[in-house]
Amino acid sequence: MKKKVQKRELLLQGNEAVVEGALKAGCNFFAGYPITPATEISEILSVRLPQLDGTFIQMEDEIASIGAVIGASLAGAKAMTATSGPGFSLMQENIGFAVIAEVPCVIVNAMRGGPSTGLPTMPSQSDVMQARWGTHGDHPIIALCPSTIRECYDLTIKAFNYSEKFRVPVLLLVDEVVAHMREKITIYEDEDVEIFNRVKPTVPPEWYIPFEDTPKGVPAMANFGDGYRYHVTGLTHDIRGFPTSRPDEIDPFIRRLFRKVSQNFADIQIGEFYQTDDADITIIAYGCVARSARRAAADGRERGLKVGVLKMNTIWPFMRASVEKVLRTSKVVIVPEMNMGQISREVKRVNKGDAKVFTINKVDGKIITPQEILSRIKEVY
Amino acid sequence: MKLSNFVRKIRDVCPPDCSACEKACAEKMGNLGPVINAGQVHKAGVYKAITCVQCGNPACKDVCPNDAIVKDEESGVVRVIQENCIGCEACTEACPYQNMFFDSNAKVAFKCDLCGGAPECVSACPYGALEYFRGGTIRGYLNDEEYLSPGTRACAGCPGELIYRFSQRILGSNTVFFGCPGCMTILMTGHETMAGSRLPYVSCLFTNVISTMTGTSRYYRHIGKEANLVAYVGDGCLSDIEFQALSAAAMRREKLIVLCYDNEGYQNTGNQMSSTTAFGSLTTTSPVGKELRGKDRDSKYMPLIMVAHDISYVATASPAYLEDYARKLTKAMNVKDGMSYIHILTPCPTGWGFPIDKSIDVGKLAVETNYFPLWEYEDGILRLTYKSDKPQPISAYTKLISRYRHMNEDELQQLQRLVDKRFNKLGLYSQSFRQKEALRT
Repeated sequence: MKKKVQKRELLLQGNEAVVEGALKAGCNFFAGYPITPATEISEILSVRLPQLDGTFIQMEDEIASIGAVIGASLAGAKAMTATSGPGFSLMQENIGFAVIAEVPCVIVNAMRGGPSTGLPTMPSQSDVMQARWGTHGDHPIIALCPSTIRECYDLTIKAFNYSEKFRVPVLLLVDEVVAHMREKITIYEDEDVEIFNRVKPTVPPEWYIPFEDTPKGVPAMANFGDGYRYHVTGLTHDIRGFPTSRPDEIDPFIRRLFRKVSQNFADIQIGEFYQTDDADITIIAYGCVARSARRAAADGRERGLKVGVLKMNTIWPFMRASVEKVLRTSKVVIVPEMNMGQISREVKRVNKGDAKVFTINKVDGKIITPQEILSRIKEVY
Repeated sequence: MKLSNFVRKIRDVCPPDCSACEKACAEKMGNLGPVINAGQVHKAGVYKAITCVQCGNPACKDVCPNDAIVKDEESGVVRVIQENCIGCEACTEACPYQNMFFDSNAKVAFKCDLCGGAPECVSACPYGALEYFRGGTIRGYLNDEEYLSPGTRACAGCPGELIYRFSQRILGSNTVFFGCPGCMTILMTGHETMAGSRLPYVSCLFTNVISTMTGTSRYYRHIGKEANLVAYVGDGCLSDIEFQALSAAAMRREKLIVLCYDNEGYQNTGNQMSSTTAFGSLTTTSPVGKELRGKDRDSKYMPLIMVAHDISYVATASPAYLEDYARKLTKAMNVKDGMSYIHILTPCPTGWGFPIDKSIDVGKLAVETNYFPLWEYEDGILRLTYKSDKPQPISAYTKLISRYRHMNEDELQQLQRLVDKRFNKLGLYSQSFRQKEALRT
């Protein structure tokens, strides 16, 4: 007899879908601090996590939140925090610590207008470059950006997987529109979702090398308290975790941090091409603007314009290969963004002159509409 | 203009069948009849005037064609000079509170004249529910200018707004306000309404209010400028994220006035718990269900932490005891050197869940139940500034508020124990401090 498929049809908010995704991925620790528009994640997890024998803590600020997340992750938890621009700024130093100490964790940033307190209840995409270079020092970073509620769910799971797989902090950049928008989403209970858990050491404690330079670049991670004794430090350290100032140890360490992400670009970079094969005009978009872009493409096609869309779900590392592909095949590339041009600068950087790159920048706290994209297309094409 | 004296109700204890005040009034007024109505007294809320409020600009006086109504400059009382009264009844029509009466036999108007300074109704009340309020005492603290423009965005019934407005009147125009994202920033900056404060206001961030003030204060000192630098900041900021900066500035003895409006949670983001949220409270991050029963631990008692910093002046205050607060804020203003800190409990109708007209009653009960005792600390001496004769059980306070509605008998007892523990601790402090005082004198 065929087993009945358990499915849940839900009308979820972006923040709620992030919670569903996190719990599916096995998140069992959350530390956070209330901030609009990410508060719902805290609120829902304060109910759900205790029911699932997980831990929810409301901390005194965002610095403490990310600190608790790092501590829990070191002890073996799958940990997450959620915040918005101002809190994300406070977290930056600790994100750098998570990078150098190679602590897996997920940080949700529901983007609102900035700088400073800015527009607490309005959307923006202006934290894109902060996600890349917010913390000081040279470092790789993974940042994902959903544009639908289903993607909120899927990308949260992926964020946990990447963080566990590569021992990196992973950022989920949700904008206020996606965070507060409601959409139908179907979740199948027996869905075959890949859940990745960190690789634990198989060697006895005395043989364990905590920051070993393996071919994959990701050393096995022992939980603190499991008998594997090692130091975790924000200082640049050698393979045993001791601070070092020897150039022959510093260089391979920093390069390994980059290598573990860069040799997995194919796995990490997620995007979608809509009708870009024959497109003269390609819109490169992410987050809530990608929704407008798809509509603009459909409307454009109706009017006889060959418009395609490249939707970026991975913001960092920058999807150079995919962007170069559309730059080669299109005559005009439009990059609509709710900032003064953060990703468009990257697009222009990789453009070899095959296509003309135009931008739409909107910073008034309102979403870019399909009509605005179409008008821009008419203006330049 | 001077705030007048008047009779008001201070305790909601009068039973419907008692009419002692009315009888006493009738006896005093003789032929004319009483000017106080026992039924209305019973219905009136706490701190409501129950007879003539002795208006600042009496409408009755304005309409009187024969100058028969006069206002006493000293006590503020409005009197009818019956010899001059022509019985036109214009004043009874003009009074917006229906507190001007007319005797159709004698053809004269009459009203409450506060019995010449010793109102009979107050002394007649067997329950101590009435008070002869002397406006002069509170008025002495206030400036004439109004700094808050009308039409602000605070929720209806917000005592945080009341305290803000009142503080401005006390502090005067030589004041710079500092704040951070929170309920009162919406009000102070005139967010989207342009209706805010006329005093300069710096809306800092959560992490840097006191640090920014330190910079301003030190530079003012450098250029020889004197001004009140006042932080009006919520509990979420001061007890959680800003605590480091506050503690450091207290240690450095910065000359600042820090006012903490404690609404026991992050009410601006929608009622999340903070460090000062009370045990058992239902908030959106301390849910109630099988596993959890609201906040599972006692709150952080900020004022005593500030006493431990040994700053120049620490006090607690309540919007239900404004005279007390006015005196404390004036003391804080007069501090020559070092920080002064006043912790004000501002019950939040929106977040806590109680009717908007009950904010003052809730604030009063918080004090009457010893949940939020009023005290002050200066020169190494802590003393209670209000002591309730017969403290009510904490359930009298919690039953008004829906964030405590789920609490069972055990949990209420636990909250009662926490309240008692805190109050006893304060008692011990004040006693030991008093001994110190005695030794010194």
